[in-house]
Amino acid sequence: MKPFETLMALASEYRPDAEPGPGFDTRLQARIRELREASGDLGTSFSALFTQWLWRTSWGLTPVVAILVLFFALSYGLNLPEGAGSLVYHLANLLPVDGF
Amino acid sequence: MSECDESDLVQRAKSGDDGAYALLVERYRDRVFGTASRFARGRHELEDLAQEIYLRVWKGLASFREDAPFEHWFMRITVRTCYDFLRKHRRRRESEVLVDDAPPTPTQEFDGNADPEQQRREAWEIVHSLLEELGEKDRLAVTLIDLEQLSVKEAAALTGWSESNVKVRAFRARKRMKEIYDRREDAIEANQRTD
Repeated sequence: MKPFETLMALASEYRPDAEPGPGFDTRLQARIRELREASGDLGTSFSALFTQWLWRTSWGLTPVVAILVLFFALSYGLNLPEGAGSLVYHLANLLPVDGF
Repeated sequence: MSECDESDLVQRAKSGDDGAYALLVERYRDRVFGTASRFARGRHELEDLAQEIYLRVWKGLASFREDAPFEHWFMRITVRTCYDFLRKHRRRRESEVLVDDAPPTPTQEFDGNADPEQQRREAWEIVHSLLEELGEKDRLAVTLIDLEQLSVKEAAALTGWSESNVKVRAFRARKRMKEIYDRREDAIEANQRTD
């Protein structure tokens, strides 16, 4: 058998068969196209999901906005005292303070 | 191809020009396949590994900042992918070695009359079987230093390890390979005496 050092030197000189087989480039390009399309789809689906979420959130806020509008409308309609801009103010007046 | 052309190709590939990337693939073909062939077994594995390297480069193009030469960046990805490939396939390789554990032996003695190309191929087959016995990091170090004939500095730059780490790993790997090789030699001699 060859000395180990000679073996390593010979092995370093050997170039294994390192040529791509037929169709390698085509397969690589197809894979790149797939990845590009997949990343494009991901972008689309993310944007679709975000829009959906935004709409849902908007609709979710509708009752809150409606309550606020109703409250301010009632405040003005009932001619509540000037400066009584908050519900807390009115409710605070209703608190029993006798004995304190 | 000049550096300027390559820079232009990289810019075009970054902006989504597949034709420009195909030219880069062609330009680095020998180096990618040459390096990958040191780690893969058989054509199927080699093409899988080479494809993985090219895909990682393609995916990473957007993050390539051109503060280092493209070639260096490309080869770092190549080496890193080969290392990940070894780690990923370690278990499968171990089970295959158990099934087929007869190491290759040279068909001709080392003499001046033997076909040099056949000697080189046989030497590579034996060395490849010895490399299979090593851990991934040691295998990578000895492959880059002893087989790809890179300097310690170059190997350190490609692996991201320190120079002393590369040196120690390559030394340890070489020592381990020599031990296995000597054991095999002893076994062959013992068999010959018995016959």
